[in-house]
Amino acid sequence: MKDALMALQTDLASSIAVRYACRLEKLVHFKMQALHIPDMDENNHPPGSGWVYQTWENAVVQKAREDITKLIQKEHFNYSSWAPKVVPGERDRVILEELRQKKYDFFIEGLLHSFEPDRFFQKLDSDLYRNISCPVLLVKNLVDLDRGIQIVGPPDTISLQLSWYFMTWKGLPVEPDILICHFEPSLEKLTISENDSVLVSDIEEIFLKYDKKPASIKTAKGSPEKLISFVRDHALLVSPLPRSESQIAQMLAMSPCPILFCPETKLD
Amino acid sequence: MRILFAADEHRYSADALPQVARLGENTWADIILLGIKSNGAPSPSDASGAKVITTTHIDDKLGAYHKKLLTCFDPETSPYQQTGSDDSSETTIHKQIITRVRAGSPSREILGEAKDAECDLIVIGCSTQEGYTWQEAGDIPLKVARDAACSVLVIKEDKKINKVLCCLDHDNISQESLEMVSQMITLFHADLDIVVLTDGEDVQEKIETKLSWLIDYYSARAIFPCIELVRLKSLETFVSQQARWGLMAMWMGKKSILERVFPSNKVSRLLKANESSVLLLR
Repeated sequence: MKDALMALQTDLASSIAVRYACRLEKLVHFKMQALHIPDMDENNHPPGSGWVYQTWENAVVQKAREDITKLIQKEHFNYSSWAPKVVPGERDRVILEELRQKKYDFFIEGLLHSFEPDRFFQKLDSDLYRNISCPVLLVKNLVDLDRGIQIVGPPDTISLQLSWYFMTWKGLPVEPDILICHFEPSLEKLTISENDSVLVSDIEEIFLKYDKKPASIKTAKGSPEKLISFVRDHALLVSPLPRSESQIAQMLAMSPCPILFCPETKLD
Repeated sequence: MRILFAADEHRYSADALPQVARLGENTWADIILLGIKSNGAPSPSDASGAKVITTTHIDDKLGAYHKKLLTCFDPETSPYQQTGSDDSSETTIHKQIITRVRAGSPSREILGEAKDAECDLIVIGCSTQEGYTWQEAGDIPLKVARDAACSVLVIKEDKKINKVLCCLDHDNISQESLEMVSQMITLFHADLDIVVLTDGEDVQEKIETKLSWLIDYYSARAIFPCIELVRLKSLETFVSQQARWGLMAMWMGKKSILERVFPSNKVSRLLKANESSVLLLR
């Protein structure tokens, strides 16, 4: 069974992420470990030093543990076999350390979808996302899983994403769509075609290895703004983990769907 | 509940009629079909030869709408009394479809009828040609939307509604407005987006609490709302880009930021900026 690490805060984004993850777990079983990094600078700076600081820090950690436990209980988060971990420190560093120590199969966190893309881009450019070596499930909204899954990306990333996707969730009883993206900002009109990519046979071969077949294989050419209409309505998008300045990042910033980001690391 | 449908003889009114029927059926509302006759003064279109609405004409049209409305319901289960039916022996609950004609300024008469009849919702179709006209006079739907004390649904001609966008900027939402939104989603088989207006900072805790409650409320009805944060300064840009999705629903209350950004006298700016149909919830 796969292991997932979920970073939780006491906010709506985390609440949505928990609900989505619990629904997903019903389709493809995995264990979830909750991790909370309390904001030690909230409201005031830590007082003094030495035992005064330690006492204050312990109180903050204890309060955070109670708050996260309430969130977990409220969302009926029954799937974790471990109590939530509460670890003070710099958020990205704490998460990376936890991922390194226990070799989780994927990481989950929530981020409310925003019309302005700056928070999404900050996330992509964070130390965590630049250094993570496992897939990241970024949950922007609670979406009905019946909406289906779509694997999106430039032609040279599709095979690697498929490998990560099947390695992580091969048990999902959903045939994913494939959208091969050719970003051409100068193109005035969007062009879309089906099953005409040179990659079709490679893609079908990967699916065959897992005894699956794709629902559809489409190729779209256009600017990120034109391609957005293809990435708005799915329960999950599977994408390479891009840099914020890339065109796929610009497209995904406009999508309200949860996204599974696959790292560039090749699988053995 | 009471729905006022302001109708004229144009296609957008005929197209809006089935939506009114379904709304009435789903909410068990009384329906008032209201027509406005001119008060004798020549209409602006006279010089070009366009026909003037006469009393006989609007009466006939409303009569036709009334008959058509009744055909929208299954006679076995319809809650609406048939004209002339006087069966007082049954204990079945009946709702009414009333046809009425008023004379005078269209917007004033529509608002007057809504006030006199204590309506919960005004529904009005409109053309998207040349400034959202109604009865070949400009801005009547906009005036009604601006000045009504109750909720107003402006159904724009030829606009398919795929999504209901609800703009939320405070935590005070009435049960009636929630149900109205649910009705719109059911009526148009549309998705639901909840747009949260922010001033650039994190979302207030009480609004997050309300959003969590809204997600629970709609999820229990198998509706999964999509949450989207929008900064106030980007609102007009956002609204203009959402036209393709179909229906914009806005909570306009005393605490609403929308009242400040789009105060009553600027609702017309909001409606004109947005090509989609609009539901103003009060």
